[in-house]
Amino acid sequence: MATEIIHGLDSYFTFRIGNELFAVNIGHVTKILELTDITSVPNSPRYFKGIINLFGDVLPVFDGRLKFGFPEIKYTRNTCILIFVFELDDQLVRSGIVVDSVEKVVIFEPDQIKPAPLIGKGFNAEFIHGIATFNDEFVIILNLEKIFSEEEISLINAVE
Amino acid sequence: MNSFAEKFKEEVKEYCERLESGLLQLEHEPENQQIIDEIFRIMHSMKGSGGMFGFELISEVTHDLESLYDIFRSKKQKIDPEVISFTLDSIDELLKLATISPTDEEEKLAAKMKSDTKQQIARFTDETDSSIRENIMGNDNSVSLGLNQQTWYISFVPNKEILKNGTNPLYLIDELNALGECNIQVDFEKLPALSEMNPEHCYVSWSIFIATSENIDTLRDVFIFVNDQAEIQLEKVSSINVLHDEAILAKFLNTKFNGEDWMPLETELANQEIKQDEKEETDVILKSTDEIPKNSIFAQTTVDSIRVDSQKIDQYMNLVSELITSQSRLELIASKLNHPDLEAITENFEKLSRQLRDNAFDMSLIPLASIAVRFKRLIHDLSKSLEKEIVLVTEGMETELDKNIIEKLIEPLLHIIRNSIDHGIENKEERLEKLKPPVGTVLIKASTAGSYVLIEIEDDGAGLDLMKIRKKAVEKGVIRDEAQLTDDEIAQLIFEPGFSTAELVTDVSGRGVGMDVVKKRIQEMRGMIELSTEKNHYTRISIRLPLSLSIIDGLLTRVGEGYYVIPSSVIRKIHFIKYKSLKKGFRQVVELEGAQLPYLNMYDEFVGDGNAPEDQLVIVVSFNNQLFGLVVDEVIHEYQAVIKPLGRLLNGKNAFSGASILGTGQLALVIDTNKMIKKYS
Repeated sequence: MATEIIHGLDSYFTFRIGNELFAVNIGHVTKILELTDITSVPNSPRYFKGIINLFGDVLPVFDGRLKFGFPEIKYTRNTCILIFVFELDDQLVRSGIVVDSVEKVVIFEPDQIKPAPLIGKGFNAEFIHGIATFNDEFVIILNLEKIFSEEEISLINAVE
Repeated sequence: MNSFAEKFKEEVKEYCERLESGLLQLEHEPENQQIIDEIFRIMHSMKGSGGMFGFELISEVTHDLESLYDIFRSKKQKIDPEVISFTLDSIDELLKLATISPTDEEEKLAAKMKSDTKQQIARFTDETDSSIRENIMGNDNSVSLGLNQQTWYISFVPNKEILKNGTNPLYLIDELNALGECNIQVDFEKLPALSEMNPEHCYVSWSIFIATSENIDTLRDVFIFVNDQAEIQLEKVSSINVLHDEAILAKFLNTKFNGEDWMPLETELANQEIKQDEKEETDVILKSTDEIPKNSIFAQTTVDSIRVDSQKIDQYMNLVSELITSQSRLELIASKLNHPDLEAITENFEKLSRQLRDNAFDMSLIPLASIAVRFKRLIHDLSKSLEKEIVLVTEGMETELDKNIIEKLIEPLLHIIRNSIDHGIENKEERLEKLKPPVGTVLIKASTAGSYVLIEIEDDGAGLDLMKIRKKAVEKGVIRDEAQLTDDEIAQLIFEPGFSTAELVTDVSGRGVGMDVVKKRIQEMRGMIELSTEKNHYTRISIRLPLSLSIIDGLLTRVGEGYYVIPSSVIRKIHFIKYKSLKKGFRQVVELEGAQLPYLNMYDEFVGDGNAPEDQLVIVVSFNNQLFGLVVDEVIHEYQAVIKPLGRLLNGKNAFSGASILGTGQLALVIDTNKMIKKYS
């Protein structure tokens, strides 16, 4: 099973939560699943949806909306689970995240990616690897390691 | 670092382990020549492969160590405990030298080890005549044409594969040549046609007549490292040098050819000494791998086993678990389709996968004996440094446990043993005063009980001073002064965090971070630890561990829409119950068999929508010597759960020890009852 991070790629996988476009380096994406049965784990944080059976492995799944501080909505037919692989304390960890919809794979050269604070919106820069533009829209490139090492984050500091 | 160097490091580790176990055995039977031989051989192999792979430091240091053991091997000297201790220490350091490009520090270490070894060598050689030194340095002295030479016949027939080990037979011939005058004949008879020749095989053999003043052992030693790779015959031709008498040599070969016994030619020059050797003269060494088992007496366990990367075993286990999951799925579908052929094959499939599962579990089990050498070593080292005489008695070391458990068990066990020796067993004078045998005993006993393994570590030392423990616990605020505790409860206090009763913090048992960590480790493996003690008699620590981390016997239950597995090991009883009869309020208790039992209604906790079913069940589980009720909606059946970890992101954060995949592909959460009860009560 592909549980390796592939480094050195310029391709980014984009997906949508709310009306924001997010991206993650494609080397971290191992699978895109349709919404399957998620077994909830009692008394866990709200953003933690539960666990899924992925070909015999048990993986935790987080709700992207709740994790990033968006309002909760009912899942649609576009709702997907993205399976990411990333490194946490020198160990490879796999985890799923529920997103509103997946978009496409985009190539960003390193110089197209700008540091986050340049943007006027109140994003929490710590969790953002950088910002790029695609079709006149901002794409927020996430820093997975950081996001999953924190309990709960609010990506948007304050809604204006 | 490249892969062959990694391999070599592995090899060094293995060599060191074998040396360690050999040395520890030697400590008890210092006269055992076989062990010394084996140690010598291992050192030689280490030196050889070290040089071959470019690990010069290891090669150099082992060369000196080898010289040291050559002294004992050639029976010139008796081995003493100091040398054994010295060698054990050296082995520890050796691993640090396993590097191709050594740093200054490593160079220094190697230099120090070499000079230390030389000192040891000197200790033994100075006391005797200088002939030993010659022996150490190798016999490159030219042969004096004295009259006390004897003539020997050596037949050296290497196996085809001898070259694969990097042995060059010609070096052996050279070595012989250095020992005396030789008449060497090469036998090319087996040499095949060029087209059929495998350049990696050895097809030649040698017949050698040698006239030398060395004795038979020295000649034999030339071949010591190829004993199992060649057929070697050694026979005395004459007790004088007859090398130039072609007639005698021809006659000897003739006799050999006819299969007759050759009577060594005696002359008046043969003195008494040689006569003494006669018993050995006709002694024909005939060895090859097939005929004689390796005389390695303490490495037998590896003979018919193969080494497999432990990751591969893990992978295999995972695959088997997946297979079982898909098998139960197949069964589900087959029972729906009701097709006789499909049912037959499904049944067969089930049988096979069950066998495969048992087989896989079996494979990942390793005996405790594999870590026993570490206990022996610890006791050896500690009894030295603490000047206490201690013997280790082990029982049931063949008991097998999952390798993951064994790995995690080493540290806690070593810590317990350290405690036993440091705090438990008294020194000699104290023991004699108490009319105990002067030598203390540490007993490690292991046995299997159902799906659990029981390990007991017992010392016959002073036992725990319960008064002192109590006092200390009050001082440290672990318990309140007025607390009423039984002796047994007081004894368990040593597992509480931040507790240590050693008046003097020694470097042996550490700084009181000990037993609570031990307990935590054991609990992490779903094990239990208990202590019992009697003053001045014994302290016994009992550890109960599951056979395997990845499978448990459990009871599959349902709460709302979720499935939960409760480990069978903690379940005492199951009762039917009406939801209404559960008392709520300040104290949640249910009355069962006349006793009040605290309970947790899992429906209310997990679902909590107030629509709990009327008929429920209470599963009574044991919790720290008490009973506790877990209320579920339905008990489905007994279930062997393959436990999958919840992953790093969730571990330790909740009351579940993992999840198990059901036949339907659904997941069931495995409840860690201890954590669950603590969390909710």
